[in-house]
Amino acid sequence: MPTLPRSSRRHASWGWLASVGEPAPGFPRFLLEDVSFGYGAATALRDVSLRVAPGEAVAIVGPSGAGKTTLLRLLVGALRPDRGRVHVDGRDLQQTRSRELRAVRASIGFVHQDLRLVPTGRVLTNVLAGRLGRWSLMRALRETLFPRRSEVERVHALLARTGIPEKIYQRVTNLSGGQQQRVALARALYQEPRSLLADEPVSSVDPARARDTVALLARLAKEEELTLLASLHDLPLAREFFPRLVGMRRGQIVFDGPSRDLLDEDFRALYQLSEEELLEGA
Amino acid sequence: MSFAGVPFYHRPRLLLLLAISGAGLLSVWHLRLAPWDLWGDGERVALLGHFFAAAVSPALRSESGLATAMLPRVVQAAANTVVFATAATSLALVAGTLLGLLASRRFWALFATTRAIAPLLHAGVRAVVGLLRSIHEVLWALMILAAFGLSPAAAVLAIAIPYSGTFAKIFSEMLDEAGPEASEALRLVGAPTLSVFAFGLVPGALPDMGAYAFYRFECALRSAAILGFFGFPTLGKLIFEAAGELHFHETWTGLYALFALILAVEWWSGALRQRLTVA
Repeated sequence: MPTLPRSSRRHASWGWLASVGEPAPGFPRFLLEDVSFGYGAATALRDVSLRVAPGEAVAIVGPSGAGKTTLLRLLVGALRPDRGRVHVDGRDLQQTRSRELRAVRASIGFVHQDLRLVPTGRVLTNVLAGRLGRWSLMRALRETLFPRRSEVERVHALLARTGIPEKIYQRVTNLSGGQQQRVALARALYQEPRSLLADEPVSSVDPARARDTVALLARLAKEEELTLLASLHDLPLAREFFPRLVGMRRGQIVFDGPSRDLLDEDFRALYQLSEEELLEGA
Repeated sequence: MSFAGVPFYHRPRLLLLLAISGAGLLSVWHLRLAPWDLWGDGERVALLGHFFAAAVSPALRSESGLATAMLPRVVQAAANTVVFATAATSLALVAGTLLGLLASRRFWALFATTRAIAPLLHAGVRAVVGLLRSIHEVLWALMILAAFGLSPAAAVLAIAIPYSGTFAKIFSEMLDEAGPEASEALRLVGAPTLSVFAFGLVPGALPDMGAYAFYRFECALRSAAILGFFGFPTLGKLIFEAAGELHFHETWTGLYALFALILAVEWWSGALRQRLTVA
């Protein structure tokens, strides 16, 4: 497949976001400092610190309930930490005003575990929605109700890269889980983000397709020079496609390093549940 | 009285059933309902007989002295019914959609964190919506006729006002019941509040809203026909006048025309609804 030029250079449609500007160089893309978060009384994250540089590809691994989704949601400001700080491109999310927060969110593509597409919409409309963060309501109505030919072609090219160009006019409800996931991925890319967060990207596809999906994600992130963070259950996949692994267990980071340096014991420690944890799960 | 050791006064459903039955019996007693009252004297029974006998032979020509053909009159009246219903539904759809947005909980929830006045405005809109639809279109017609006299606009308004209230109530409920997932995703894309609403919530509710609009169009046809009783040139006027002159064959021609009209629209809107929700 031919590599297309990087989309954000190709297309200067940042609209009002241009005023917020590119991040100052030297800042980590994501920075968590001693972050704790709980859902009511249940603690989901405890004193988590993490630094991700621009262009890195990081897999967050660990059992269910380890806090992987919570961590990703904190990074887009969907959740606010109880304690500690979350920085994106040097901006403290606690102190951003709503306009700035929207700019930060527009710079992050998020592929949700349950995809969260607009169910009655067509593939084209769903992908176009990726740009809603850059558009006022009026512009968004114009661009989606009467899409310009150039934009339709752009969406078609993105769908070609995710592997489903022929589905552009289908309604998403008529697509399989795997195809819907590619729509969600195309939506995130059409957003022209600086980072891509994927929450359990292989949970909605069958195991045979899991490897393809992760490979596609890693390749696209590389081609677009995006910072990639994905939460994964599957350790072999994480190890194969991500140079850096962050292991989480019970709301804490238990290891963080290059995947080739990690020993099998580290993995065992991650997944071998203590008797106490087994009882909690029961 | 007890079942399985639970005394009846601890059985809420049983108590409710008893209360409803009691209320029903009390109403029958209060109104002194007696089905045999309907029969009355022999003359009325004979009239009823004539009326139903005419059902098998609807008039093709007028029963008055001139015996003009019925078909052009019926077609004209049916067309007027459709025109009144279409105008009223369109007007109600626009007003009802706007009010429906403003009456939905979701819409105000988007602003709730920044505007303390939101709950107040929300309650105000809901009160207006309640007022609009609590008054029947016939009562609106009476009021509007008294104020402005007999004009097409009066009939259209009389239907459109309560219908916009009904649209607003149903649409707001549909919006509030639409799944939050898509709008949450769009919020995280950085979309402005109104875009989150327009692109994340509305599309999910749109097929149901469209289907409901067609159903209301059927209702509007019946309402437009009824308003003929006030003199608007719809099928109701034809039926009302024919029945008043005891021209039962003509009456049945009008009733059959109304029946055919409603069936045709039902069939058409059914097909459209299917396409809206399935395609």
